[in-house]
Amino acid sequence: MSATLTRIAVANFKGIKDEVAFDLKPITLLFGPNSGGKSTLIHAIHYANEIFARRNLDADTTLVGGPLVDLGGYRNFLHHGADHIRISLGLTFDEHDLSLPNPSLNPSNASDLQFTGSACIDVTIRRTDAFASPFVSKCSFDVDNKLFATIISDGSICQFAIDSRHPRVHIGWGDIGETFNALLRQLLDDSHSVERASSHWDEPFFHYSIRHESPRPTCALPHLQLLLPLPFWVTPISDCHTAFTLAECVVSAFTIGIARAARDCLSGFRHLGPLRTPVPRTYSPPRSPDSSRWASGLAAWDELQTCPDTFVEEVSDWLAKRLKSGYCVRRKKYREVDETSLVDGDLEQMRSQSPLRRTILTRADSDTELAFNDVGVGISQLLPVVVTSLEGHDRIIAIEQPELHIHPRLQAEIGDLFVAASQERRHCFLIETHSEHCILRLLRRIRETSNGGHTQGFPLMSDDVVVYHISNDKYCTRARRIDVDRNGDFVQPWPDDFFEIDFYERFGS
Amino acid sequence: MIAEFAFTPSVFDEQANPDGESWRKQLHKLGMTMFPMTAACPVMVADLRDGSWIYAASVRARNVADGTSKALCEELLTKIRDTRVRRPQAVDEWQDDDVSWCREAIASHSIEPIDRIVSCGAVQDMLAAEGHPIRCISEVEGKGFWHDISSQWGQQLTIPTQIQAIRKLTLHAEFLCLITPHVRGEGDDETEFAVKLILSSLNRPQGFRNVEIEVHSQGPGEPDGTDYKERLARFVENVKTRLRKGLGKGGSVRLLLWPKLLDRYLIAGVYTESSRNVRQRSPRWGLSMPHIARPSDARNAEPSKTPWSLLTREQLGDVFDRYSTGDPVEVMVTSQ
Repeated sequence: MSATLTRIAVANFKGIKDEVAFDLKPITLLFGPNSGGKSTLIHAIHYANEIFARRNLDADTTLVGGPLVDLGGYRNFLHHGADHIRISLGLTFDEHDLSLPNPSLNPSNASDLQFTGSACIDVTIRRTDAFASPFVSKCSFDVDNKLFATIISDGSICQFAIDSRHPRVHIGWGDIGETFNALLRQLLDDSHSVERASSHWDEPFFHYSIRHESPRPTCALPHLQLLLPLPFWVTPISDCHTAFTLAECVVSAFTIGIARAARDCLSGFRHLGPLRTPVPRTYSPPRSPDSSRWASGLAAWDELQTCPDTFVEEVSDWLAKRLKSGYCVRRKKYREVDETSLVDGDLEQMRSQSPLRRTILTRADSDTELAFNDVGVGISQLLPVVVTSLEGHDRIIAIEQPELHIHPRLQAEIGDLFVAASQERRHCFLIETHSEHCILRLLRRIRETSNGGHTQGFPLMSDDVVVYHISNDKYCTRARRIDVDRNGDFVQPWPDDFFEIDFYERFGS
Repeated sequence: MIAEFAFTPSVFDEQANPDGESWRKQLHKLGMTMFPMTAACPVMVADLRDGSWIYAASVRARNVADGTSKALCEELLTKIRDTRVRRPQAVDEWQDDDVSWCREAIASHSIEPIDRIVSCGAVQDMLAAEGHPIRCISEVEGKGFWHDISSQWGQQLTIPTQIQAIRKLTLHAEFLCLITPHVRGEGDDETEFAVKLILSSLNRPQGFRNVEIEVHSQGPGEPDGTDYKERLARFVENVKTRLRKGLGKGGSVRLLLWPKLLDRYLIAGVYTESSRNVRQRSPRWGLSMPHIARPSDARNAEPSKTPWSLLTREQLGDVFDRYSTGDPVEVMVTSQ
C-alpha cells in the first residue's frame, strides 16, 4: 500500500516563521488575499520533493515545477534570509508499507514491516560557516505519534538516538523485538561503544555517534539506498549476526523506511501552475518525458497525444458531458502517404503502415475539427485541469487558480471534478483558489450527501475537505484552518469578507 | 449591546410592502446596520418554531418579483443565516400566516425576551390593538429602533447589569468559555461573576438546548516551586467550592488553568457535526471585556463604565484558537 501524506508542517520557510501545520485531506483548499503566502505550502512540497528525491537542499528550479517554480536557493527561501535560523519540514503519513532498500534483508516475517499507523519524518535544514552549502542537521522519525529515532548532524558527526523501548518495537514484533532489545542491551553493556551518550539501560534512548571525514557536510537524513548504520564494529557480531541483521532491519524500517515512504509519496506530486501556456498551432509532444511540463499545463496536451484511447474518452466525457464546456477531445488515427504512392496506386503499402495517432478538439455538437489554439482561452486553461485531475492515481496534485479564465458555472463544475478524482483516483488535491463558485459547489455536495439527497454522483463527506485561509500578518504567513460541517457550513468563522463582497456591493451606500 | 430580533416572514414579502422604493430603503438600512462592514454583527435573529422561520422567510424572498428587492432580501437572509438562534416552538395552534408568526414571536418573547419583534404595517396595526409591542419594518430608519444596539458599548461595572448584558449569549450558546485571569475563588475577585454567569446559563426555559461551560483562569504562580502541587490543589479547591454555588444538581463546569493569562473574553458558540459524526465546536460570538465587575463594585454609588465590544470574526477565530489549543491544567467541577 502506498503512503498517504496527511500532514505537512513547515517552519522558517519563505513567509512562514513559526511552525504551521497543514492537514491534507482529499480536497484541501487554500484561500486568502493576494501575496498572503498561499503558494508557500505548494513550494514547501516542491522543496520536500527536492530533498527526498535528490537531496537538493539549495534548490532553485525544481523537478516538478521546472523553470516555472524557481525557489531561488536556500538563502532565498529561508525565512527573512536569516542564517541563524533553520528550516524545518515535517511530513506525516498514514497507512504505508515500510520498504527497505534491499528486500532480501527483510526479516522472514516481512508482513511485520507493514502497519497502518501513522509515521512522521521531520527534517531540519541549516547552513553553517564551516560549509558552503546547507545540510540536514536533524532528522527525526515518529511512529504512531511517538518519537522513535533522531539523527543530529553538525556537518561532521552524526549522532543517533533510538528509542529501544518504543511501543512499536516492543508490541507486535514478537521475537524480533525481543532479539532487538537483547542486542541493544548487549551493545550498551559493551565498554567500547563509540561515543555512547546513554548512561545506562534504563534510559530508553540508545545513543551512538558516527564521524564522517568529508569536505561536504554530512546530512542527518540517511541514505535511502542503505540500511541505517548501527555501531556493529564494536559488537561481538559473530555471536549474534542474525539478531544484528534483524535489529538493522527493524531500525531501518522505522527510519529509512519512513524516509523512503516520504520520497515515494512525493514522487507522484504534480503541480499545475497559475498560468497555463497555450499550445502553439505547430505543437507536437516532446519525445522525452518531462514531468516539469505539468507546471505550465503543456504536459496535459502531451499526455493526450500519448495516452490510451480510453483516457481520451474519459477526458472528453468530462469536458463535454459533465463540465458541459461545449467541446470534446477525440483520438484521430491516420497514415502518412507519399504522393508518389498515390500516383502509383500503391495503397497496399500505405495500409501496411502503422497508423499514427493525433488527438484533436471538436465541438461537442459537431465533428468540426479545431486546433487547440483556435478555441477560447478558457478551454485552453481548463483542459490541463481536467487532464491533471484524471491522470494517474494516489497523487498529490497542487493546482493554482483552476478557475482561471473560466465561466462561473464551469468553476462550480470543476468542484465536482475534484470530488470525483479524489475518490476514484485517490488523489489528494491542494487547490489554491479565489473561486467562490468552486467552494460553494463542494459545500453543496457535502450538504446533499448529509441529507441523503441527489448529489449527481458526487457524494462528499465534510471530513474530506479542509480549508486554510492564508494571510500575511506582520510580514509572516498566517494560516487559519476552517473545517466544514455536515451541513456544508464553516465550523470556524471565515476571517475576511470573501463571501460578503456581493453583500456590501449591494448594500453599500 | 447584542440584541435579538424576530422578523415575521412578511418583512421579506413584496405583497406586504407595497411601496417598493421605501421597502428597499428599509431593507438597505436593516442590512447595513445589522451587518456593519468593519465591526461585529450586534444582532442575533430568532429562528422561531424550532428553526422553521428561515424557510418561511426564504420562500417569501424567492417569490419577490422585483429583481433589486429580491436580491436585497436574499442577500440579507443569507447573512441572517449565520446569526440565527433557534427558539423552541411556543404556540401550538398554527396557521402559516403573518399574524401567527407574530403571535409565535410574542409567545416566545414572554418565555424569554426578544428585543425587537419586526413585522409589516398591517400586522403591526392588527396586533397593536391587543397591546403587543410589535415594530414595523418602516421603523428601522428611525434612530430609536437601534437604541442600545451596538458592537461596542460602555458597560456598567456591576455584576447584575453585566450578566444581563450577556444574557443573549448565556441563553443561546451551546458552549461558553469565560476567560479571565481573576477567577481564583477569593472573596473579591471575578469568581462571583463566573458563578452568576453559570447560573444565568443554566437557567434556560424548556426547549432551549443545554450548554457546556468552561472557565479559563490563571493558575497559581511559580509552577516550578517545590510546593506548587499543594498550592495548586488549594487553589483548585477554593475555586471549585465557589463555582459549585452556580451549579444545580448534576451540573458541571470545566475549569482550565493557564500558567499566564492576561485576556478577558467570553466566547460562545454552538456544536456542529462532521459527516462522520465528529462533534465540533463552532464559535459564533465573542466579547472582549476589559473589566469584569467584582462584588465590591456594587458599593460604588455611581458605578463606572467599561468598554465592552463584540469580537469581529477574525478576532473571534483567533481567540478561540488560542484557548482551544495548549495544555492548561484541567479540572472538572461538579455539583455535590
